[in-house]
Amino acid sequence: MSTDEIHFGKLAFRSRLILGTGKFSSTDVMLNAIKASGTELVTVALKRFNRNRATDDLYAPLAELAGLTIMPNTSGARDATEAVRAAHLGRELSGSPIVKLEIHPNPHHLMPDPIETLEAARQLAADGFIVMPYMPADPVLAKRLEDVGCASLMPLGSAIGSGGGIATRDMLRLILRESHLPVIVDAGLRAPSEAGAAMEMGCAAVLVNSAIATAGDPVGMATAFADVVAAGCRARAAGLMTSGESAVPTSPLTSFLSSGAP
Amino acid sequence: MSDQVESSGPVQVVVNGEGTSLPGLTTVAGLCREISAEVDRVAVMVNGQIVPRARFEKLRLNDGDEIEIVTYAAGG
Repeated sequence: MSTDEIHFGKLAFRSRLILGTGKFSSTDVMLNAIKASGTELVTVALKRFNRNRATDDLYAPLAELAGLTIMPNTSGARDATEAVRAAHLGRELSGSPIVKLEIHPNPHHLMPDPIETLEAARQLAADGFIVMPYMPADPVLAKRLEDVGCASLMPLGSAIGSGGGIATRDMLRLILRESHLPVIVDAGLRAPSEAGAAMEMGCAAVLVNSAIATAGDPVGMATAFADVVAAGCRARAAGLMTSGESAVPTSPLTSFLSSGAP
Repeated sequence: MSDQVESSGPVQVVVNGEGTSLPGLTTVAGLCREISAEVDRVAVMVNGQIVPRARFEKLRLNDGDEIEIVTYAAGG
């Protein structure tokens, strides 16, 4: 992996950090965190328009940030039919074909439904969408999603919003080894070091929301994530040393200290 | 949902799940103005069909139409 641009379909990005816009204490804090993170790609959800809450508007403030691509998600969809409909609505709003496909029907664990996700991905890719599927960390499903034309794979590190870190490390390694698509750890990251580890493993990017939005200082945390993601990306490109079980000396083990008289 | 004028007088529709009375025949764009929704910041479905923004001014609403108007929300 190089430190150059990353491509999702026809879209190119330099930043390897994708931000979610949920859970911020205010729109201003969210906008400042987005700026501090250097991200070029953020996710948004969809909701019913409410004439009595026009101050909730996210469209205008996000549109003011230059160089930012908006990736609507399909959160709330319980099956492929609902997700496809949400994706089309999102495309009407964003004017861009990139969509975060997420179908998690169980509100208790929010685990993605692999069968509905695969079906929705097939339909959306055929409709010209740049499909970014939130998925279980399953290398078999990853291959299936690649085969139907997804633009990336977004396996979870741990449950959404849990801060459980990368609990799927072994499966993630298999996906990274087998896949030809950019792999993005999408959920569960808590600390910047976990994002750095994901990048060192070979992930193309990470998607972070709660870890930044609910930090004591979201802007400071966005900066920290940006720094560590960039460092992890450079480390991967530089080539990590091989690891082993035996010690290997870095200094010459000569015996002059114990030989001869003082 | 049709491009033709099919009735006159008040029109009863359902907007985002709530019964709404419109003063007369109107279009999707007219409904957006009525509820202060900026047309370039919403996506609209009428009776389950997505209406491209280019048709907002043309598509007339009829009695009984079910309309969903959505916009961005914060989310990850």
